[in-house]
Amino acid sequence: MRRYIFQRLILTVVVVLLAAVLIFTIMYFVPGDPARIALGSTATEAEVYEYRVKLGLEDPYLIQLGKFMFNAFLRLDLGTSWSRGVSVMSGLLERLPRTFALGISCVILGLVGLPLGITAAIHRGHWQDRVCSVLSMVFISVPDFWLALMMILLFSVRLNLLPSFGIGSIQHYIMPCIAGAIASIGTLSRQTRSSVLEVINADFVTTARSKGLKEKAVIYKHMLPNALIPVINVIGTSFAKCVGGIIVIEQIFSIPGVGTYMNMAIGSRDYPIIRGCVVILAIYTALLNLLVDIAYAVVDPRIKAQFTAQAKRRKKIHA
Amino acid sequence: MNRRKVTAMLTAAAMCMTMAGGGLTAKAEVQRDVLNFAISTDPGDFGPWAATNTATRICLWGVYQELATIIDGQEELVLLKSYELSDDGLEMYCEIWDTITDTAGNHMTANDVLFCWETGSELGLLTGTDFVDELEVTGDYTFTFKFNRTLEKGDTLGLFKWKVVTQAAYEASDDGMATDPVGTGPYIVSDYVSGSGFTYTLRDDYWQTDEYNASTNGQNVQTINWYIITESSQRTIALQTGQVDLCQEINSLDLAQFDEGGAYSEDYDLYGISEDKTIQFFANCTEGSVTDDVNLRIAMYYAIDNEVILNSVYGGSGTAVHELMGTWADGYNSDWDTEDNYYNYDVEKAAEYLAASNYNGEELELIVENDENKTNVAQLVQVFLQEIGVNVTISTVEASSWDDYKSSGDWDLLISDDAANVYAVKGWWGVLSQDRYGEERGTVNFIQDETLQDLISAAMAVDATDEDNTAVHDYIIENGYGYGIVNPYMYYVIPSDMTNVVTSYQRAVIPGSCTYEN
Repeated sequence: MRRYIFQRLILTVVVVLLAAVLIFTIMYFVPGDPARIALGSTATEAEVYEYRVKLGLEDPYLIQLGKFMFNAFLRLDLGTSWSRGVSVMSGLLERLPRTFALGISCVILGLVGLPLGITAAIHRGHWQDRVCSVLSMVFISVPDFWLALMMILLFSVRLNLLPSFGIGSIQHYIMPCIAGAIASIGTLSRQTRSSVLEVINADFVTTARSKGLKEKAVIYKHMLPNALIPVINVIGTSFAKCVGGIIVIEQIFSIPGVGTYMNMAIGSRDYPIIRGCVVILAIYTALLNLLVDIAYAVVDPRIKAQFTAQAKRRKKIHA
Repeated sequence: MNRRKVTAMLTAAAMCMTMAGGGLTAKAEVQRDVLNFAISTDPGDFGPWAATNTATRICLWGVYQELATIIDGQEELVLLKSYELSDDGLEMYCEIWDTITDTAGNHMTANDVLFCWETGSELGLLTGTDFVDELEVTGDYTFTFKFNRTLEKGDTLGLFKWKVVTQAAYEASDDGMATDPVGTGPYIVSDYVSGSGFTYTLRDDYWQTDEYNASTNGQNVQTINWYIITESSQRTIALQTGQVDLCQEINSLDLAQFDEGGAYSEDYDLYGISEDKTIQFFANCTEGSVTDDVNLRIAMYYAIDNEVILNSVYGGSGTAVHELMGTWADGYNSDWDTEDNYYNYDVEKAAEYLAASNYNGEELELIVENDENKTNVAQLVQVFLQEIGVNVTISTVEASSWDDYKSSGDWDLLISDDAANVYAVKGWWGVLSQDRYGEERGTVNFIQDETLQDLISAAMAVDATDEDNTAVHDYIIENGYGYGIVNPYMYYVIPSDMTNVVTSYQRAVIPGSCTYEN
């Protein structure tokens, strides 16, 4: 088991480093001149060149890459924003909690999909199944930005109940959370339904029933623990998506999170911010995948057994 | 258009005159307690050397001050008390007010001016000042600029437009005042939440007196709450729900709601102001290229109906121009609007010039930045040119690669909006000067013409006359070096109690300086 975790950890580090090199390389070759953007259209070519030298943009690719990797991973310094003049790390640290708060709220709200999926599977073919399935389909199909705008029109413009932008209070997060969670509810519901259906007629469930166990006990003690293993993956993916994919929601509701930060940086060709955001998101996603893998290994006895068997074989060979 | 407050610079001028004539009562009487202002961009950096963006253009006015500024093409001293040029024009003797203090209580002296000059130079952010050799402090409040040539038109703007702070305050800040600005302006910034908003509160100890107060540093609002709302539709909703009073950059389709007769006209008005950029049309003049043919270029200009473009693309919100810049630029001669030597739409003339050209039906590539309005303009230009038999294909270019593509010269025709300045001659300089583009490229469209450069240089002189400007204007027309199409308006939604709107030379509303009806 420890070996499994160690292997995954090494892989995670490699993925993060490769992601950093990749994003740096892409940004390096992307056309556009940040110096021109910073100095404005009235600056002369000579002034722009001088500023490029000051920013280090005239250095060769490998030197720029080396500096970036050294600073980012050894000094934890993601550089200074070209358009803002402040540390990218401090900008990210200021915004990450808001994005995490929003993202985690979305995931928690998304867990509503679990009972929906279970209900649909248990009542397969009945009206409960149809209602839950239709709801899931609707939740998956509705674009989050459309839902966000519709909610704003209803709850802010018409009813004047909720603020349409900003971060001043809990109320500010209600609409963004619903808009951000709606697709997760649908996805989780469908995945749960299909997983439960896979085990509902399995031999161990039949055995449990034949032992005379109550239906509730069969469902909660025997069916769900097995059915929910694939769902862990969906929840893990939701966590990854909730931070990386919340840009649209942040943009619509003017929430100053990582998404709006990155969006602003793309508009102003602020490469240090873009690189910093992508590196942090890559680390976050890689760590999340690592956690999901570990959770899998802990929950699914087959993975644990596989590694135990491998270890035994190795011991035999050494002996 | 008369229904809307398209008073543009006239209003600002009226404001200035009112202030000058009627005495400056702004400091004595706050006219509005709270104003909520929605802006589309986060200033991000409140430092004196922050990169210019839509937000910093608007909101740094209340915090920092410059030596002097330009209002309606007229210079207005701010930190400077006076200045004087030496007889040979190579030195400028300046004096700042001796009462200047910043929000931290630091007293400003000439050494602070020198400090900011040196810091800006080191950071490479003092553009348009390459004619200054040295800034020498000569007294507590006096200093001298030493030049390597005599001043040209627009030079004083470059010389005075940088923000001055006290050395003590700047050095006390950990992040170059990026989040904790300490300026000499009338407002103090507080509660800044990056990407969300911030608050301006009026200073009690503001150094300017009623006797002397720059019109751009009014103190008519006690508290200004700035909200950063990046989505255009959300800004409209914020206005509709009354969450904000003043708003910048509203979707053109939403404007009617706030105009006279609109659903929200009781609480709001529209204020239109000419954009600082004009949509221009250029042909590549590289020697030997298809469009290095004055008859072909003039034929194309005559074939374009810029009134139709104005109405179709901009809904009539703007001006069909007769030069490469807007009519508001200082040095623009209003006679140019009515003269008959400009390329007023005339298909027959276009056909005549085309017949006299060497054009043989070649496919011309028209490049345009990927922007909805500019692309629409390009499509109309394509239709107009097709009518006279000039074949055009449009290539839209992403903003990120726009400058690279433009300077590569791999194009025949160009829709652009480069010339932007308070001075007409700087508008020409922006697109047609070798000083701007270097000798090899010459101009934005690769013209190598000594006469053109000489004429622009003559018009750049401080003592240049209207004749010098007209000479440049006529020469550009005669040689078909470029064609101004439209100078669009941009709109602010303003509260209905805002009676006079004051704008900066960067075309931004300065809310603290505007006047409000009680």
